[in-house]
Amino acid sequence: MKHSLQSEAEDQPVGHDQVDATIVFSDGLVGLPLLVRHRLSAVPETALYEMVSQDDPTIGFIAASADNVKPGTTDRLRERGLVGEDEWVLAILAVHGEPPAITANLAGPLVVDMRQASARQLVIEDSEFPLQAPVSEAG
Amino acid sequence: MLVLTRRSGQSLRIGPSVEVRVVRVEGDRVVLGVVAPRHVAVVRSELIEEVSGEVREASDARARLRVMLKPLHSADTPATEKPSPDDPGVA
Repeated sequence: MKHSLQSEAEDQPVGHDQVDATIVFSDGLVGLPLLVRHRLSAVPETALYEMVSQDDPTIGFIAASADNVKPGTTDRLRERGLVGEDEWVLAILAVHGEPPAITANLAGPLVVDMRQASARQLVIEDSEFPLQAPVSEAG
Repeated sequence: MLVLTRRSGQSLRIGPSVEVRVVRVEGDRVVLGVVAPRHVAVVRSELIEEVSGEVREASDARARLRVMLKPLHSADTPATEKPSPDDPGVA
């Protein structure tokens, strides 16, 4: 199933348009434990966000609210006790295949607590949360 | 590393709340059942490596992704330019 970034973003704006903050991952990213501090900012005129490591500025990525990639993701993770009420779930976007296609990493979502400026990356063992969920930009 | 021998149907415990049971053995594959609290992440080791690799790939693909997303956002947000004073619609 291909998920749509744009149409969901328009229908149910899950996001933080004005985000521009330093977020601390106390355990780093999965496999990158030394990357603790990251700058998270909204990409203007999009429903997307950019996160750049302040510990290694060569590492950075584009992300989207997980609910904009796959509606209901946050609720399902809350039901499992993996996400708190005030936490925000982001999915990292990548490009795969030929022709190139955008994918969202739902197996390793980022869980952000904006009030505490803290976050963690989950690893979810469930086919409902694929590593490379296809995303159609325009819906 | 602690090494234990278990048979099908037997189990072992990790701490007070995690139980790992050998469900069955199929050739060189062992089917395990894990009982753990919901907040305990139970994942295959290789999935952690895959997630880590995906983060690195996403970082490498950032510039490419921006290019792919640019036409889309330009098309979706046509009214971002400041209106010209000569525009009859502008007071």
